[in-house]
Amino acid sequence: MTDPLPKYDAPPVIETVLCAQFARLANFTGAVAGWFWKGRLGSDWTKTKTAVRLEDQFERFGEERRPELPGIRFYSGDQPDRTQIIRSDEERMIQIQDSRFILNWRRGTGGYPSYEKLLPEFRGSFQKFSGFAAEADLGEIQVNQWEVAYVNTLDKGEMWESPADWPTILPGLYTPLTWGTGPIETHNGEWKFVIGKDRGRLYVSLKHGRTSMDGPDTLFLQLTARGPVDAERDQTLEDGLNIGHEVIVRSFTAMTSPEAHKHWKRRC
Amino acid sequence: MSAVASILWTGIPGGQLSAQSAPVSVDSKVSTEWRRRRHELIEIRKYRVNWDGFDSDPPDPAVVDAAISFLHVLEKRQPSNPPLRVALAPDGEIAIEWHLYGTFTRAEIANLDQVEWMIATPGRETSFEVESLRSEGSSAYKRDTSDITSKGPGSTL
Repeated sequence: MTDPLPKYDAPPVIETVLCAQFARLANFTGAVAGWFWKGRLGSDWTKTKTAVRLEDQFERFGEERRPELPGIRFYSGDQPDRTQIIRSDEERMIQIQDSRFILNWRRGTGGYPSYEKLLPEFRGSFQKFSGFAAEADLGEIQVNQWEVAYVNTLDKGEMWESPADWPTILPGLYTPLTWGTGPIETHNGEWKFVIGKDRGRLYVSLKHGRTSMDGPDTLFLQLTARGPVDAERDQTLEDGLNIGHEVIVRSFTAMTSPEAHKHWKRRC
Repeated sequence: MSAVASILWTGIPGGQLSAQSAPVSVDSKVSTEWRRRRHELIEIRKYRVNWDGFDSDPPDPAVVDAAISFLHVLEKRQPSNPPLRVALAPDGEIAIEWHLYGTFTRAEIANLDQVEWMIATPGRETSFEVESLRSEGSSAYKRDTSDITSKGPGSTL
């Protein structure tokens, strides 16, 4: 992986996610989230919402890989919800819960700011949260997983008119032969890959839908990379995020066609 | 609390396209298995005395209801792993069982207070755990259950 990372001037990405998952903070509550919001974030973080708590996710490999047993999960007291803190321009959102810190970028009037800009933002705000957690007696943040996600949309009319055109954008997309039918009407799929030598997993999801009731048909292409953070194995959070980003960008480039790259103004 | 939990901000149709859901996507076959187990518990609830031909007592409907509610909780926790089967023991105990990757797991519900878990893996010591259904430590269970039972103002559950 020594080639320069592909870059696009007009990528189809509409959202990115950078996430650190950590061991549960037993004393974390919604009030603590509010304290962090008002005490540590600037005045441009103007709105909050409450969302359903995300379950912890772990990528396991080899001997560690075991079935996710349905039971044997013990909860102490009420589980706090997830708090979403939104910046006034609605292009950034910080999500915090007792076991996750997440930075979302969503496409607004500005273009995609690039990973090189988002990573320092994530690093800075997560450091603020880690410091806050220590001062608020929540305990030390012990990160156990990293996660990166990119959501891309390919609207009908831009590069495709019908699902039969999709292979021109995604050449590896396989359409089985049928008899007595018209052309393919729709397709949804999910794929899962191990990254490197058990460094994480890449999830690729392709969905056909619409962004709104009256919006155009859209192909949603989501790439999510996730993996472990383990100090004993020298697997750091930031290394994981960088690996996840690189795997996502290179995989996106590999799975899409040169014609599509041209449409998205690939630079290198 | 009934919305699909998603790490994403953008509104993806159906709420299905999420980083959270990607590794735990549930196909229709899996959903069918969960429905089947629920249906089997509902059928067990109808059993009468001598249901097994050995004069066994009928199951306590409250215990069966607790098992059905707990099954909902399990589906929320691990939607991709429906149980292999449910069973009623002659003493009225409800068992929910899995056999995954060589590990046998059984959740036994004998009363309204707790679930007893048994996990057996060849070559390892069998482990037993108890999960309370009533104590403070089970608030997640109670909350999830209330989500399921509170279907609206008309709900009598």
